[in-house]
Amino acid sequence: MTEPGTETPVETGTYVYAVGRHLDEQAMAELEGVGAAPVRVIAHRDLNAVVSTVDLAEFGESALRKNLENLSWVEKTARRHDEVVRRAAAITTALAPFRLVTIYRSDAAARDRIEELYDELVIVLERIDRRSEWSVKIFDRQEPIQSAQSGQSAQSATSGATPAAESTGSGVAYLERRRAEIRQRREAAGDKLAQADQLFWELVPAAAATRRLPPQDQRLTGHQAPMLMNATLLVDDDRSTAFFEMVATLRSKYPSLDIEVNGPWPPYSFAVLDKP
Amino acid sequence: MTEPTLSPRRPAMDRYGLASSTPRPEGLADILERVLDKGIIIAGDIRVNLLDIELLTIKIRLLVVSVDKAMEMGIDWWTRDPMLSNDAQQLADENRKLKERVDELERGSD
Repeated sequence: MTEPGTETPVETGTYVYAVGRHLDEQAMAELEGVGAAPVRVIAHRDLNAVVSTVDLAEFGESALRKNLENLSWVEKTARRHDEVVRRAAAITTALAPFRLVTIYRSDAAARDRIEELYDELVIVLERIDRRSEWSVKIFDRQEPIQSAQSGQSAQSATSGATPAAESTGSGVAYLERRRAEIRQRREAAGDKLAQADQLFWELVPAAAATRRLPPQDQRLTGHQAPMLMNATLLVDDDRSTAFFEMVATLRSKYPSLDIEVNGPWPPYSFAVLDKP
Repeated sequence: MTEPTLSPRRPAMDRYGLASSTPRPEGLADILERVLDKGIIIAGDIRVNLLDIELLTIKIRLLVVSVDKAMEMGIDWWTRDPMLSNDAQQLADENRKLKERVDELERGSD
């Protein structure tokens, strides 16, 4: 791109957002991409790549190392990137999103890379075609601690003889009761985990693929009840009704568990290259 | 301005508004997780090791998640601390203490 004797032109690269099929450039045209660049679609064989031409003064190696440490630049770029990917996903049946800041020297270099990865990209697109991702989280529907003799504690409550009154003068009895409560709580928690696991396996047949995820930290989610299970499922769009019906059935089958289902999302978790 | 052509095979997406050009206000943590940890992860010609980027490491992203939650509860000390010297643990502790206090208040002044 540089001719000898001329001033150095702006160095650019090709930023790749995603790869898919049947992507209509017209439908993406009014979007503003990263670095305020227009969004284009380039073709290689039967695949399309959604791209933008970016200025390497902002997206080159040393520029990126600086900009990626800047929260507002990261936020602006990530949101733009995400929006372009979401729009592309909405206009086709299978889209493989690329990671933030995947940039090639040119459109030709991007096409070369797509050619190298062609077979694997086709496998990914076939895996996710006409399928969406759903998140399933299972929480402990916390009930008040029932003592082993739950009938008795109900009686004593109505008769007015509260445990506190009984334990006056008997600290040991109080501690015994507390230990029993804690043991019951632990056993109940173990049971709940097993139930959540069982519920997940009953849901698996409704999905084309599943991934278990670590339960999220309560301190971060701010959720009241402990999360027992966290999973993401790849479900045929045509089978989403059957999926819902299965969830409803499982809700009644496991009344002590809270099932939170979110989706559908474009299947980003499943649009991954198989490890070599 | 032409409306995007929506594939009739993806009505679910449209139902959830993903085809809309208006960005939904969504937490940065969720977006970062999508665009950094999912999809096709391969090297470009422009090499940058994202693990070298402190902002993007897990610790800072934990902070971003906590920030969203913390701000809902009125915690915003980092807006006055440009060095962001406190780490995610301290923020989580503050968060927890505040929640305990709120729970206390909600149980009523017994």
